[in-house]
Amino acid sequence: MFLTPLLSSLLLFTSADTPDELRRPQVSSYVVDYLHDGSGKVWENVVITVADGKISQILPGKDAPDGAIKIEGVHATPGLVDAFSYMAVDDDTVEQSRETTAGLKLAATIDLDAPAFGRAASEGVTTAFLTPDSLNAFGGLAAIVKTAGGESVDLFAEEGSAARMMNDAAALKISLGNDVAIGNRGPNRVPNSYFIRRPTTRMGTVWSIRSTFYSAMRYAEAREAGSVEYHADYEVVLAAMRGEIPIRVHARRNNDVQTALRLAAEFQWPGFVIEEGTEAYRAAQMLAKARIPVVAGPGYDTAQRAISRGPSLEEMRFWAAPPEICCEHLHEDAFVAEVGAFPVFPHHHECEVDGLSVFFHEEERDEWGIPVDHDDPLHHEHDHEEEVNPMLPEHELVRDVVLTIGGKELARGLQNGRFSEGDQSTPALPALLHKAGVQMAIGGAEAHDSISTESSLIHQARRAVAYGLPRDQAITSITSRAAVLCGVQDRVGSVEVGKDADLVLWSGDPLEHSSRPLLVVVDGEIVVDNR
Amino acid sequence: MILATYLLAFAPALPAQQAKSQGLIWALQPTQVVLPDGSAAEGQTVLIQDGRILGVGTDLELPSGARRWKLDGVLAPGFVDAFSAYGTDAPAQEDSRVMTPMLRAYDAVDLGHQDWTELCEAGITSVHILPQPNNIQAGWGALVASGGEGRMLASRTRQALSLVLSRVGDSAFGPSSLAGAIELFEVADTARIPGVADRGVLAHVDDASAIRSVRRSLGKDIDIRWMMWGDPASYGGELKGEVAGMPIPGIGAWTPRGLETLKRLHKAGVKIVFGTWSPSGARQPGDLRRAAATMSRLTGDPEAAMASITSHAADFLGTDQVGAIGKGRRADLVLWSAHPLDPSAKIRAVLINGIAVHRSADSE
Repeated sequence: MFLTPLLSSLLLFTSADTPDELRRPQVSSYVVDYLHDGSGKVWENVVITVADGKISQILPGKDAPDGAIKIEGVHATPGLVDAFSYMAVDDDTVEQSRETTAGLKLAATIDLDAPAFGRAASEGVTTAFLTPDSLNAFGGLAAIVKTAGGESVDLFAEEGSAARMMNDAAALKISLGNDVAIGNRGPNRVPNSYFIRRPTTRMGTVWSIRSTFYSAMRYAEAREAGSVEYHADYEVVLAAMRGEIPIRVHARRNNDVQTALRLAAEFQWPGFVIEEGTEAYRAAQMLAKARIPVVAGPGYDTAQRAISRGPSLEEMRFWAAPPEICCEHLHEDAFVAEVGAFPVFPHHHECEVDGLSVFFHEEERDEWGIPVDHDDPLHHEHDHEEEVNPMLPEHELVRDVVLTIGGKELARGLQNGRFSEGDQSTPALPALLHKAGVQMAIGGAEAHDSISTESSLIHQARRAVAYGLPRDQAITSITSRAAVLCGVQDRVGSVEVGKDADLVLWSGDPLEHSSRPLLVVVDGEIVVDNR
Repeated sequence: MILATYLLAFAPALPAQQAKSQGLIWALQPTQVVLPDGSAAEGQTVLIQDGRILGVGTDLELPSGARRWKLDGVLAPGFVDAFSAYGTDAPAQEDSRVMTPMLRAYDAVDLGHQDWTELCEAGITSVHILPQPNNIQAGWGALVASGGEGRMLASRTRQALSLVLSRVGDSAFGPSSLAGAIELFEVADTARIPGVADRGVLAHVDDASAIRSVRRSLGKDIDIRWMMWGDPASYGGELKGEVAGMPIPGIGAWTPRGLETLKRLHKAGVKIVFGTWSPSGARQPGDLRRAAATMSRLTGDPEAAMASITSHAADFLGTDQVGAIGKGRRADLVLWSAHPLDPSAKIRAVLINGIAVHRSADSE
């Protein structure tokens, strides 16, 4: 008898002493008003129960079991899947002294404590396909991680904040285009750098890839005969040709996309996925016919890259969905369907957002890319027809979007987001691909490397909606379809019984730019709590 | 010469001349003895014979013929400089190749160098000379006594490995990245270098990936010690329970984050070891003791602080000959005016291999 008070006080003491245990229960339930299950469907009033890191039960209703987490008006989605990401991919992970590094595992050198993972998790991304950098013809093996729940080795990091490896050989990365040739040059008198080599052009890049495939095939014969040593790069290339490792091709320009289709036919690839695909909309019909999926790169990635001076949170939120505020006509299908057209804002749209006066203006540039200032006394108005550079078609004349507040220029080049060949990116890409019937997911690329989260994956999806992508497609392209294109659909990308308990509870509809993640759950553990 | 500074005090004299003292047993009875747990205990007797410690304790039975000396001061083990470039004129490195596993730092050592006297005077009795970490397989370290006779204690301590990209990277041939360095390292099969299986390796690292690669490549049977570069806080969690060297920042250069890093490394169970060499240049011999004193104050753990420049340092380079006052170890002993982790402590005498090689003026 007298033991009872002692025991109960002991229990009280224990529970009071371990708040972490309360925060991360073994079994927990979430009562949500809306569930976007990842397939494009939305359910009202659902109770999701999680046990041992998996989703154990999904029931209709609002009856909250004891201890259930219930937030008024909340929308739940599966943890978002970033199907094309450069999180923590840095100089340490890309070996530039050779062009073919097919055998390198990104997983071997990735820093799982990188701050990008924490940022991605706090923006609802729980699974990320990390792709090797595009600087090698064969970049090596991609990795898939959960963005939280790993064991941290950084002594200053919060416990459990590190990413965790799901698959360290998720795909073989092949890169087309000019990135591979960057830095390379022809020989001078004394070769004093590993950059003195081919390829220095787009053609050279393809030569490099093609010759590696032929070398790998010769190697396979020699290996059969027992006359060569094990070669990690060729083994990976051969495994990819046999279909044991998926192939990812980084292609931005239209001609790169077409080159990828030709290489696939020439070497009989069992299949592949196009990555970034900046101009893939131009080859959309070919891709749809060949049933080649695309993971679209972002319309822009980081504030640092997109614009010289980073705008504030409110400004970027405004940018995430500009047509809702001032450019309604951009919703129109006619605009989106105009393949090859570049969305251009009409002159001086003024709007009131959160008390800020914001307007865009189209900046006119001459044929050499220099801004035209009509007030400049030295500027001569020329006869347009005479002066236009015949090499530049009129619709490709450089136009820039400048974001200004109070008459002060804050941000430039929002329209042309990415560097180098990616600068022709358009936020309409997902809508155009979808319309053409191409299987499509959206990737964040470097988006989460930036401290400004306004370029994150969910914002890319919101922008895609603003540029014509149906809302259900926007959700599937960052959840279930992204998981399919990464080969992890058995575990993540949808809210179903038996799948990993990766959930995001949003303060409102996830595609509304004002919504934010309140709770992010990875493998049943709350990793972000913004309640 | 170092040997010229014989002890004159403590008549009839501390064991000063080896020839005369051969076979004799000396019973040293200092005011206090620094024990392996870092504490200073009174009433201890240290028995030494032929340069070795026969035993240490409070109730030791003195063998017949043992000569007893009472010493005024705290007797501590001589410090071990766990990674050093002292006593060498040119750095031990060979940049013409990526892999130089057969290189020996031993061959860069000058036993007549003036550095040795300074080291003795700072209480450092053994010094681990390391090849520079400019090669992925960088060669063998050497253990040298800073005074006495028979000073080359080990010509091959551990094989030094380096996956520090800023040192092993090469703009003409590669690698350009940690990924490339790891690839070259893993192909090279370090475990097969003769001697590595017995002596183990000492891996220079600045990244958790490098640590995992070394473990993956060498397996469980090979002894690995670590040399921490860059920001040890960013990968320290990977080194829980391991012995790892940490360069000493310059005088007054401990930053708040640096101190916090030291504290967290200690808390995570990393057995920290200090040495005088650092990427930004050699530290003063006296900095070794200063670093240990800083660590002691910061962590409140004098045992670990003392071990960082004695027993853990000996383990770091793979010897049980030095680094503690214990049975069978070399009689490398230093008599201090106070506990050596007390910044005010001054050296009164230094014995190396049981022979007095230095004594200070105030010890008379």
